[in-house]
Amino acid sequence: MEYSRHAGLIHLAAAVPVSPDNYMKAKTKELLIEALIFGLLVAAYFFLVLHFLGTWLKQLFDSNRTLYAFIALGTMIVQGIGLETFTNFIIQFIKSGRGNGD
Amino acid sequence: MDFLISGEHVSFVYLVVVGFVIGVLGGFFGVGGSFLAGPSLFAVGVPMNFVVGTDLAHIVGKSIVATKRHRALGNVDVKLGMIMVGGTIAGVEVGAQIIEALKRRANVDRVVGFSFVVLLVSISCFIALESWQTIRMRGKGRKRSAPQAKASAAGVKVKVDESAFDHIAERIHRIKLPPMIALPESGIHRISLWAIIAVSFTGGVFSGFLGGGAGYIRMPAMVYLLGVPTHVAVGTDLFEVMISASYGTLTHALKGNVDIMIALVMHIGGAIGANIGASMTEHFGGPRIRLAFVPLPLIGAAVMIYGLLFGGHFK
Repeated sequence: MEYSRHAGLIHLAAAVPVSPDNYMKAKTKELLIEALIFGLLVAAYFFLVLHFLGTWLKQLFDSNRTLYAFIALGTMIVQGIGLETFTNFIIQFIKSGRGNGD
Repeated sequence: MDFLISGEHVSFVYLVVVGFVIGVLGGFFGVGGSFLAGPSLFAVGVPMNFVVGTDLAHIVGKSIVATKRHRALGNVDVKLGMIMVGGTIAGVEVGAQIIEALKRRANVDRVVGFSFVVLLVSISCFIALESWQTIRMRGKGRKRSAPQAKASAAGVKVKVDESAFDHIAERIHRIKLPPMIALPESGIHRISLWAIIAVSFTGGVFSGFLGGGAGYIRMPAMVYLLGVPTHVAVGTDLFEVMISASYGTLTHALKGNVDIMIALVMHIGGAIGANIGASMTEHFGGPRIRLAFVPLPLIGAAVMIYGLLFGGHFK
């Protein structure tokens, strides 16, 4: 019998043996929840950039190409690193909340 | 949706879906996906200069997400990636210069283009043959002498992988051209630094010729020539793509070729897809990932044929 080493599953199962099928189901569910939270955050980030920076970025593109280049790269890096870190923080928060609830 | 910077009108949903598909492929195979993103943007009327730059910007975000995921899974060899970045950037510059020089001669585009088609189809056939043989070999329970076995014997924890063509990497490992380095995360006990630089430089030259990241050449090269386990090759290639695409985004943005809003929309789908693609690698062995990789160079070849027949739009 295989024991899960996944922190979240240990919380839920309290070290009860986890079958490979259940482990896969739990992992898939967790991945989908993570993708959903991440997707919502990325979409929200885009609309915030569009609302607050959209016109300014166009003006920057026309007037100061160097600054535009660095800000363009910066927005992608923030979206990639910042939002993923924030998603992980939310997931850890949900997990810890669930653990305390048990 | 109207995009002010490029002045184009493109469907929001279309961009998200394209980003998602490329994200899954990128996360799973360790490729940038420009062979698919370029034609997809071009097909909806985005000007070619914006296609190239915007695609690179989108690749930056997607490769950051996928690299972070692969890093968490232990699939990124940072040392190897950093060495390869240098070789790749030098190769890209040389490749771009060579293609410019060749373009001045009549019919050279066609000769070079068809040579690449032959090369890409050959890569596909080779990987199909190798991964099929490896899967069959494993089915018969035969053990192989992997390059990683030496590192395993030395007590280093490495990713397990197998290939029916390990002898190619073993021969390259035997080249004693100093400086010799160790890559514990890839399970490589000793390899000449020049072998890594040669492989990355060659990949870079192809990238300079083809215009994309040429991950469908570099990833198999890492597996078969350097002996890097497939999962680590995927993660490390993404790490390298992340750095080289950032460099490309900056240079293209300076030239006015990046519509960052299009890239951000594509990244909504790309980020989710990259996460899913990278996580999927956990459930597949190296030979099966390589077998699934087979169509990718064929798609690259099809794009090249289209470019040759209809005016070289995708170069």
